[in-house]
Amino acid sequence: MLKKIRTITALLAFVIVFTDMPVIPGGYSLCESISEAQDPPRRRRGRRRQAPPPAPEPEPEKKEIVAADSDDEYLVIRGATLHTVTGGTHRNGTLICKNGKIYQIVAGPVDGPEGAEVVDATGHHVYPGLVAFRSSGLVGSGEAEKSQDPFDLDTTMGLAAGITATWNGSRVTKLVHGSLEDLTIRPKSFSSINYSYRNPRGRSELRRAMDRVQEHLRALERHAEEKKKDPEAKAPDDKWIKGIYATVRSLLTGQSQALVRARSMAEIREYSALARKYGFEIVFEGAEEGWIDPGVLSRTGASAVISPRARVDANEDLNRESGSSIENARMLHDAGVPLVIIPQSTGIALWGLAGRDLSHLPLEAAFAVRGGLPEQVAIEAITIEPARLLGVADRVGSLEVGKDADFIITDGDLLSYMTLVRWAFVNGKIQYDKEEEGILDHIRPDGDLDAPPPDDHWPRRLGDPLKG
Amino acid sequence: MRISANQWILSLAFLFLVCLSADATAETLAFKVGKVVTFDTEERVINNATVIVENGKITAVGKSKEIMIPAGAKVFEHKDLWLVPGFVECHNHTGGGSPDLHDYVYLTNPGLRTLESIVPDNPEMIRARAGGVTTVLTIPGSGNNMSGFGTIMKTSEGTVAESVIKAPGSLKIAQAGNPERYFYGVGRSFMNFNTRQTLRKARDYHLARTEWEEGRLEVEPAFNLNWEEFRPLFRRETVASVHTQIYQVLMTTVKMVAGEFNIRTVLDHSTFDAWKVAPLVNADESIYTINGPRQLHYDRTQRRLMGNAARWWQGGVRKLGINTDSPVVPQEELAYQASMACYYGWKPYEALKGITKIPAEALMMDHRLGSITVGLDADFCLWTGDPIDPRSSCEMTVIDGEVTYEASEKRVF
Amino acid sequence: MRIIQWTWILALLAGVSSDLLAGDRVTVIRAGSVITGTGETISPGEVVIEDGKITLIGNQLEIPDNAKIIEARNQTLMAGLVLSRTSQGLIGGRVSGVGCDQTVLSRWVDGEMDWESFLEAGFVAAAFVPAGTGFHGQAVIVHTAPEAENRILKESVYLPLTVTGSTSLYRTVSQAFDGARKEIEKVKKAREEWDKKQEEAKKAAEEAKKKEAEKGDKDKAAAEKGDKSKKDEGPKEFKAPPMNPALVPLVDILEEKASAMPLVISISSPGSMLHVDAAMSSVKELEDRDPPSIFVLPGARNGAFHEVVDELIERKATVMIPPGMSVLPDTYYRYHVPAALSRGGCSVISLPRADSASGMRDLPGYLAEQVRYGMSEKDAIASLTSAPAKFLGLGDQMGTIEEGKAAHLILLNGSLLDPGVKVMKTMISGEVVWDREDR
Repeated sequence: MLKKIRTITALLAFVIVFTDMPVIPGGYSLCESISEAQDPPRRRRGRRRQAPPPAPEPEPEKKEIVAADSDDEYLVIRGATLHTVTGGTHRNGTLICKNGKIYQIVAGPVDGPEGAEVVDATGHHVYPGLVAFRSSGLVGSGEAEKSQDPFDLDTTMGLAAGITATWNGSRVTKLVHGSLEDLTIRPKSFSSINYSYRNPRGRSELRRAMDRVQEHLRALERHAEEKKKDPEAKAPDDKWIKGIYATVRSLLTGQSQALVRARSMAEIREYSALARKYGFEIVFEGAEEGWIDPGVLSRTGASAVISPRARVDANEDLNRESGSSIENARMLHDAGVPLVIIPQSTGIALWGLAGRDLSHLPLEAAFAVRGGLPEQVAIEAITIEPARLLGVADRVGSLEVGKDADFIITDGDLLSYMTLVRWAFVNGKIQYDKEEEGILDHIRPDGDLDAPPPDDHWPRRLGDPLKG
Repeated sequence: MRISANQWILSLAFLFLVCLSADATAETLAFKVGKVVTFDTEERVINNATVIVENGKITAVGKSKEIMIPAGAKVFEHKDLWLVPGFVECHNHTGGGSPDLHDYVYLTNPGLRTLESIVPDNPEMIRARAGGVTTVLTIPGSGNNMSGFGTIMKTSEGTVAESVIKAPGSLKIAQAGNPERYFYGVGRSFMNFNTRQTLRKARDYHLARTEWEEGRLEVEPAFNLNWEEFRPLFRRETVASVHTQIYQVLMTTVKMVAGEFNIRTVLDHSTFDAWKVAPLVNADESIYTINGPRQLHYDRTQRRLMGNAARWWQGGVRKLGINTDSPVVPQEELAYQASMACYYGWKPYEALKGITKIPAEALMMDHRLGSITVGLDADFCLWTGDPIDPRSSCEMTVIDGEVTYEASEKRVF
Repeated sequence: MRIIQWTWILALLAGVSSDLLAGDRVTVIRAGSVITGTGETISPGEVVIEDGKITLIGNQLEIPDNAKIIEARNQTLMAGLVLSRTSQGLIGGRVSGVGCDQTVLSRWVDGEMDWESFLEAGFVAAAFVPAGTGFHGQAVIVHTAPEAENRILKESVYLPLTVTGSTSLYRTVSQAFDGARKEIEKVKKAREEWDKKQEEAKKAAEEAKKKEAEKGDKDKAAAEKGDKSKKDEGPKEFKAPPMNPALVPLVDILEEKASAMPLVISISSPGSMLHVDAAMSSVKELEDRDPPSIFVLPGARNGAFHEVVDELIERKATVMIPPGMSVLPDTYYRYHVPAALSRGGCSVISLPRADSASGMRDLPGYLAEQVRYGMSEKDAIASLTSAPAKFLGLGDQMGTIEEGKAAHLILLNGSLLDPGVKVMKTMISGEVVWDREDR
């Protein structure tokens, strides 16, 4: 009997909470009051994600008639479904590129300019090239033009995974095979700060630095006022701003964002409080426990770089929520946190364990969908969102007129586990061709699931060495 | 919405009644779902299907309009979900929680078994069932040539007695690779010699005991617990799980374990370029190839990425499944291992079969597991779609007719 | 055939003036076959040497009675081998950065050099460069005879640039050419100043003359002034300020002087070739010039050089490379870079696989492999004889057996392309400087 009463009570509670029935007739609903108490209405700080702009009206008519002897290089992709990411999807659309830039996006089939290179991609899908927030080995370090091995297999494998740009720690760089031109899109660096509670000394030092720099910035403001009255006013001394102070200054003046690897909610809370107090932008990498209180991140205006599948076991000793959740991406997104998705292993792994490295970046995003994230957002989290976070959204990350012609043509839905990249284009040039490159050519050639095994023969790109 | 006091009382009374009735007939469940992938003898895939479960067994499967739901059955109506057999894992090391993997005693340890280390409902098992895995074969590690006997267990809550369904579930043999790191100087020829000697002793014991049992021997051979466990193996009532990888080692496995000793053999791993000897594997119909955790082989001779499962399939091997070697790949990602097999060239239906029906057959448990067939254990999951699509999630896991995981309560994976 | 006819005529002529052939300065080698290196093989063949030079090549030549005859009826005679790049046996540290003035002349002790091993391997001349990275000196070609009166054949032959990493490459190249540019500007500025001074002095002198004419009566003052203007005149000839010798060869390159040494660039990975191009074209004076076309590539198993073979062929590059198979990275594919380059029309110069005595000794065996992978036999032999001789500017002196060339010859116990072939005798200027029988 006791058990039954308990069951009924539980059921009742369930009904009340989840159907939002008023407990007291005429009173507030329970959920309403809880949410009122917890979060003030969310306010987004700074230049955060605006609602996606309305799809630009496709222009079916040609912009101009191109002379046949023009030096301009045109590239036309026909017949494919164009996923622009920021401007809707066009079935059987046409993508026209001119001199390495996207020139026109047309919703229907149109003829390209005369003399253009035409790729018939009927039955295929076009997406913007994927942007890997982090990577190791895909591009050279620092200025890739001066350090990259242009014939590295990892670059090819990155392109085969659909990645056309990545951040190497100091620059956002394109993946290009066999050339050293037009690699770097833009330098990008984040500030690294350590405010971990495991480092109490560093914490107080950082706070002191923040206070001192903040005071300095106020003094600068006062100085600017004084200068209006007295042009001879002496500027506050800034010779001491070196090391940590310089880092803090670039943070507090908005010149850079802090990039912090934080796993636990406790850490996220600490850093967020600091960011809110001193008013700087922060990006959380990892953020495995972010789902526990995503409001903290959204109130701070933080972005999150996450691996939806990351597994952190709950701490059974804690009397509260802990550990990772497959719903992390969805819950952060629902709270309004801009999301970037990368796998936990940010290299290319050919040693056997498949599906955990950058070769399967879209499938990492698929795991976010499993946790409830809308597919569109999951695709944004590997294209336009990392581009925004890395400050290159004006060049890459979506198919938009005027952006770089960096895109991929796949044989299916990007987030499907059977989709392979057929071609990858960077700067309007083919950088990867599944059939030509040969590494994956034997897998579903022309979509054939029953294709015979490949012949073991000499590499296709070299021809027979014994013949001329 | 405002509800009057009368309505309140009425609704409470109704709820009370519902609870009472549900309690009374908890043993009968009816699942009305959008699709059932049965893997039964006819390989049916039924849309708008109903599955009836009574006393932990499946009692009816068919089109919803053809199946009568017994009176008082608890009905789960999920028209948008797929009902798929619970996954069967052939190579798991986390049945006792993650730390208890391996005992380095001797190079061959015929007397050890994982049964003693089982911890049902440990955190790994909770995650496993959230990933749709309802049965695992927990085996010792591959650090020595013969590390003991494995245990087939459900991932359900409950006691050891409740969750273990077969012990010994398999004999773990490891050939080459990991055992070479056991002690300095252990090479493949000695390891094969040693494994063969151990198996010979076990077989001699089995034959002697059988002779005596059948009255052909006057003196009873001494009873030996070590060798006693091997007897079902030589009666082909249980299997050997063999850690075997490159094709040369795979050939030894097929020739020695399956051939010379006539043991039902499950080729675990069977990775790198092992698919090159597919014809040899095909020659013995009782051999099952359970591929993983490596799904990928970068073939330097061809400069190609090979999907191991796809290459086995292309080589004509049909008794082909997938494993995780959990914790190498987390147990809940068994379906993702199948996704990877498909990414690199295999077929989705076969891959799904390769984590349900095929491993159940491999472990000789297909009379209880691996398909949605009348009379089998009611082990299945409700999925939001194709289970090997990482976007699909497991919404509910039923083991032995009991709902052991519900994503709506707390989504684990 | 033509040679044989010619030799008959020559022999007839020689017979008429037989006194020319008289005397012990004449040496005749009778070999089983003579590989001239110009496309003909004479078997059996004879070569007449006079005054250290080849005077006759042919068959059944009329030979003066007192001529010294070397009988080698079962051996093969061919031009001595030429080593186009070595740093063997040098002393002192490695050069790094920009040191274009460095040579090996201060880096060896002649008596301590192991010339024997060069001769044993059939090398009669070798281009020595100081070991190092960056612009690590300039090449000097020497004879390999143990006691050579004129050791040095040629100085300032080429300028090696050895690339280790791409980042240091960009730094070295910009540092080197920026330095050279500054030297040029330094001289230019000095000349401008000198010109200006000349001009001023001229003007002053003219003014002084005028004044002198105007104020002829004031002799004393005029004389004083004249003295002063004479003092201001300075030197008559412009004397350029001395340039940094380490940069002078680079100045020559920037100024496109005829005497400028060619750059020989060693790269260790195919990607480096692209970096070299980029680094060179980042120097504004070199931007519009042809890209570098002389490369030293590493030996077998060293990266995806197949990726740049087409580009090298397009440049008609000269490539120094040890013979051997490459395995393409991340594969088991084998690929023969030297053979592919040669087939495509590049000038291939073979280097030993290791810059050591054994490396040189093992060279012929690997040459045979090149032929198996498609290099013509002629090109394979040329890669150690005429090709390096021509590249080093010694084509008129050695590299082939032709009348008028120096008698730098080797006798082998078979073809150079037989694996395991041995050098029996090595001759420099007609003198046997190494003989296997003496060992």
